[in-house]
Amino acid sequence: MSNLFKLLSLIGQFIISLFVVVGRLAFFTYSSVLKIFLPPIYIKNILLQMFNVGYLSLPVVGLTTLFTGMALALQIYEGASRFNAESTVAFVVAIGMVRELAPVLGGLMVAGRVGAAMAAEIGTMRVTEQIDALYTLSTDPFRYLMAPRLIAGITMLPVLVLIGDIIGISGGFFISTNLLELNKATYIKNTTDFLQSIDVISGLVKAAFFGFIVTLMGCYNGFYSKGGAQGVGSAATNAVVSGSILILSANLIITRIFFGA
Amino acid sequence: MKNPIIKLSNVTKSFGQKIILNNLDLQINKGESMVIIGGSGTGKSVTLKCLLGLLKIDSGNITIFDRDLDKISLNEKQEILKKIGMLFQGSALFDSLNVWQNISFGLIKGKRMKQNLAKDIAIDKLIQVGLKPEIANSYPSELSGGMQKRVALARAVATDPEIIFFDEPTTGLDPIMANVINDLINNIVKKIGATALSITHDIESAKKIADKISMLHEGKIIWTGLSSDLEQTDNKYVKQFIYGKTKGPIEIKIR
Repeated sequence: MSNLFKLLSLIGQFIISLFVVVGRLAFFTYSSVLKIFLPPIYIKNILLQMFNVGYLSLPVVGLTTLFTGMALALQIYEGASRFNAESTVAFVVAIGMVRELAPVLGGLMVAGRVGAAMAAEIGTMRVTEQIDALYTLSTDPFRYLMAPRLIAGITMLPVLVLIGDIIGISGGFFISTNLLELNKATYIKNTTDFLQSIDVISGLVKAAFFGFIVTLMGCYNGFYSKGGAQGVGSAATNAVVSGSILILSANLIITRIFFGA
Repeated sequence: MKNPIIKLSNVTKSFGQKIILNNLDLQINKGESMVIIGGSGTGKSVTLKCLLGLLKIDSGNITIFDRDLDKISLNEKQEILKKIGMLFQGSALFDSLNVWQNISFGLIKGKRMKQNLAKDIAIDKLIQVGLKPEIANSYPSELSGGMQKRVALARAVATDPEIIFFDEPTTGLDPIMANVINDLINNIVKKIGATALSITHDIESAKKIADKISMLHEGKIIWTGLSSDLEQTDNKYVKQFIYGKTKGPIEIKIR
């Protein structure tokens, strides 16, 4: 009987802690999003974060999409050649990159680079009482730290993904026309003829959501970190893991909304 | 009887099952320098965090400038915070900002002062705490612990606050640097005519900077008196604490 009580107690504790986390995250999200629109707006911080999230992530996202576009062209060519449908390579590479691979892989790479860095930075500020110091200096940490990061994530990830789209498609073009000896003019025509604006838009909308998720998870895990170096390390890990899982699940939902039958 | 500028009445604060502050009563009058002494884990830092509104109390009242912290809006709280300076135990300097930006942070962000004017004040405060203006563009990581503490002190007093809180101001400093910080605190508090509340377990520091000393034990104030009365008291708890005796009414709890 006592074992049953222990089991029930453990289940109860788990459910309560789950509600605590959900409630805390909801409060954090509400406070952070609200402060995006309320003055004072720290323009300098926003520009700095845009530089960090956007410009400094460019090499990572660029290389990821370049190699992915190249590999995708090779894979699609190999599969399509079984049906004598090599002409579809251009279209499939383009649609695969803009709808799916550039936003998802771009989001995951930014989660690894930016999400972890934000969690570590804000986590260190938390454990060294810098966030308390902000508060005592009449500065709202949500306005000063979280809002600029969220704005940077939401605005910069679509820009990164758009650049990633171009690089990825160029990578596919390079492999297809040089290694696979497809006709350059036909490749470009197939890409531009069949690619629709909704394909690009859906990818950019996904990117904006992923930017929000990555920065929110980075800020949230950093803000609630505790226990010194170990706590900051856990916050960085949690930011990447939770950010990545949320990106993949949000991707499914957004894809369903845009293209679900 | 003087009107207290800070008043805590029956303040209780717990973390889970553990009661940290247990019906705590404390009053600090305008212009007074009060030091709370007490062992580790007795609730000194929690008291300060409750006063700053960083922690919410379970019951009781905290009034600062005759305003009940529980009954005022966030904006009113921020207005009160503009009149308060805080020196953190670990300095808590912003490592992404240089020295003068740290010192002038409250002036620029809190009081909306122009950057040039705020920088001049920051450098003036830097000189007041005995540092050279040349370090104004250095970052906190380039400074020693003692220098960081002085910069943090300059930041705490930059806005000429009416109340200043000092959290373990001399912890981690060598005796000479600790005395330098004590003297700076005394000089600055007198110069700007502020009310000061410090928490420390450094008895020498407490005697130097306090007008009045209170001892906190198990979440309650168990003794309050003038700084000069500290060594004459018959209170067994105070005696054990200030002489560091291992035997006495204070039991060291080892888990």
